[in-house]
Amino acid sequence: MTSLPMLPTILVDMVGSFSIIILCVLSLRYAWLLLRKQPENFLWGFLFYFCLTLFCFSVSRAVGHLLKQILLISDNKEQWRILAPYSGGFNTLLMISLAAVSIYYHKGIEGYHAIQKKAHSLKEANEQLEISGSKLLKLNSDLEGIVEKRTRKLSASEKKFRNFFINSKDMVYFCDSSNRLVNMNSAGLEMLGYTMEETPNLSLQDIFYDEEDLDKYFETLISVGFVEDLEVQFVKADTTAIFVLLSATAIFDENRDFTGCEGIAKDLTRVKTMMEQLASSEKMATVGQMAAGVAHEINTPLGVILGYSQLMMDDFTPESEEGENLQVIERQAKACRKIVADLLKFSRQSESARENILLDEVIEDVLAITEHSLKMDHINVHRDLDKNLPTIVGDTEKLRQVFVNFINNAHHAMEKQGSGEIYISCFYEEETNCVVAKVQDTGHGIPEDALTKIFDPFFTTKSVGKGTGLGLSVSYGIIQEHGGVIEVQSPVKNNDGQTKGTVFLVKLPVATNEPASVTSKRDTN
Amino acid sequence: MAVIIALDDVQDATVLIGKILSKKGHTVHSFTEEDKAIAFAKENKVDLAILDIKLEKMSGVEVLGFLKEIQPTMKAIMLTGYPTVETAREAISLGADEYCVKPIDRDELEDKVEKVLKSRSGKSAMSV
Repeated sequence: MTSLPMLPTILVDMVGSFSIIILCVLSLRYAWLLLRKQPENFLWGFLFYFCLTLFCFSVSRAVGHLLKQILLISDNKEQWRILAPYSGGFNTLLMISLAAVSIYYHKGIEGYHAIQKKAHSLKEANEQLEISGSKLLKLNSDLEGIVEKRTRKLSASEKKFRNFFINSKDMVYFCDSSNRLVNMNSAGLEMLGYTMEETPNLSLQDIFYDEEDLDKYFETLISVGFVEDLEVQFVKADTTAIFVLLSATAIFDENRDFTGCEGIAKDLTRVKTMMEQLASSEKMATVGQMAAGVAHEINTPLGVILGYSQLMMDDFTPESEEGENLQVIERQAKACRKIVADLLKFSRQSESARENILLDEVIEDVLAITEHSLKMDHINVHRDLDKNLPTIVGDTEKLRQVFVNFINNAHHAMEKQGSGEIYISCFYEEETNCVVAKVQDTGHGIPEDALTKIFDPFFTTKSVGKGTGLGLSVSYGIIQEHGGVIEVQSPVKNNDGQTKGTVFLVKLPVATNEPASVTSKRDTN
Repeated sequence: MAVIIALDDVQDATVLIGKILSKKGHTVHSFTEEDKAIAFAKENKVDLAILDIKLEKMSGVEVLGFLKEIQPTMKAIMLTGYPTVETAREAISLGADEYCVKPIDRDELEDKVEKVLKSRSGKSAMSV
């Protein structure tokens, strides 16, 4: 063998083998570093083992070639011939391991992909689960909120209706099918005169005064389903009766069977009194209007009668029979004139002055003019007038008229018994913020049947010519116009239990701070 | 003495005034219709008018206005069965000397007439 022309080939083979060793060491190191960085990464694992086997193969082959060249150069051909099959076998073995690693990792990668896929879908499923989980959580917390809100609404509504039931000023009750009152509010119990503590076991039969009313109640309730504005009487705990306005509704279950009723009853006692008062004030107003109309019409003919009788008196002496007759006509015509004048006063209550007044002064004025004639009939006046009264607003002249009427009535009530006492007092009542005047006599008092009529126009117990029956109704109108009240007590109970005489009470509201001077000027001119 | 007209929608009332005042020596002309009273005042001198407020066609206060236009020196007494603050104020502003409420007494009427007429003679005496 000529060694010279083979030299470049030998050189390349040796340098190549040497560089293979260096390069594969570097590759292996690189793969190892990658694996160290991400130990769980399958690819880097594959790359590392692939590199490792390839490294073994490359090193074995490169060392083999280097050995071959060195043996050939040093003419140890025989030694190489012995070694060559071992080197080739070893290389083949390493090549097989490389193939095994590749195949193993080829399958491994498929497995890895499958696992990756699985993991991915699992992750997706997990994410879905998380979303639905949070949705569920939101829904759950919302539900809690909704339930809380509904509960709040429900309890507010319950409270509202309970309050209505408890605080209603009217009776509210619930009844079961056997007519037992299962529930009644405090207003109802109070109306019937029971206390909350002794919650009575009552049935409708117990509280209806009239059985016919109860029959009517049920008849309408069953046939129509409700009862509206039925005026009935209820029995109170003390067995007295009260008038109520009753409305009720029947309760049926789903099978249309009667299971009870619920009702509201309004106490009519107050309404009844109000109606009476209204009727009374309407009567007053009607009388007032009528009086105004009548006054003009009557005054002219009355004037003619009075005038002619007075004219005729010129022709007769007062002592003659004709003269006396004419005097009677004159006297009666004058009595008529007084009635009409009183009527006019009564009808024109709206036109009145508004001045600041001290009531004790008004009373003193009246006593000054009446006391003399009272003394003539041995009637003593006892004053108890507070000198520090607050002012009231009103018409002095009209208020004088009221007290003149009281004193005249007291005078007339006592003149026949030969003597008497008038107690007149005037004081401030704090709870009503009113000035109160009280006129009491020791006369015969007012008969019970007359007591309700004394303020009616034209009602009088006095003899013809003495009273017109308008004094107290005029007084009533005046006091009402002043925003006050007028009360009467007769007969009065004395300390010793004896009953005698009459008391008239007048309560007038104290003037408010706003100035009354603007209006007071108007009617004084 | 004086020339007086009496105006009232009720004739008996005017005649009564006539009779009472004639006895005192006055000349009284009674009317129940407003127009006739006004017409009379246009033709004759009138010293005093006694006027009812409620009349057939117009109110006594209106009649007073017309009469005062015709004879400003004429005196006037208003007589009414239903006095009101409004008519009283109006009548006085138109120059009424008295405002009386019916029914009036004979004595009262005589006194009022005398008083009103005297105030005229007093004034006229001063003006002469």
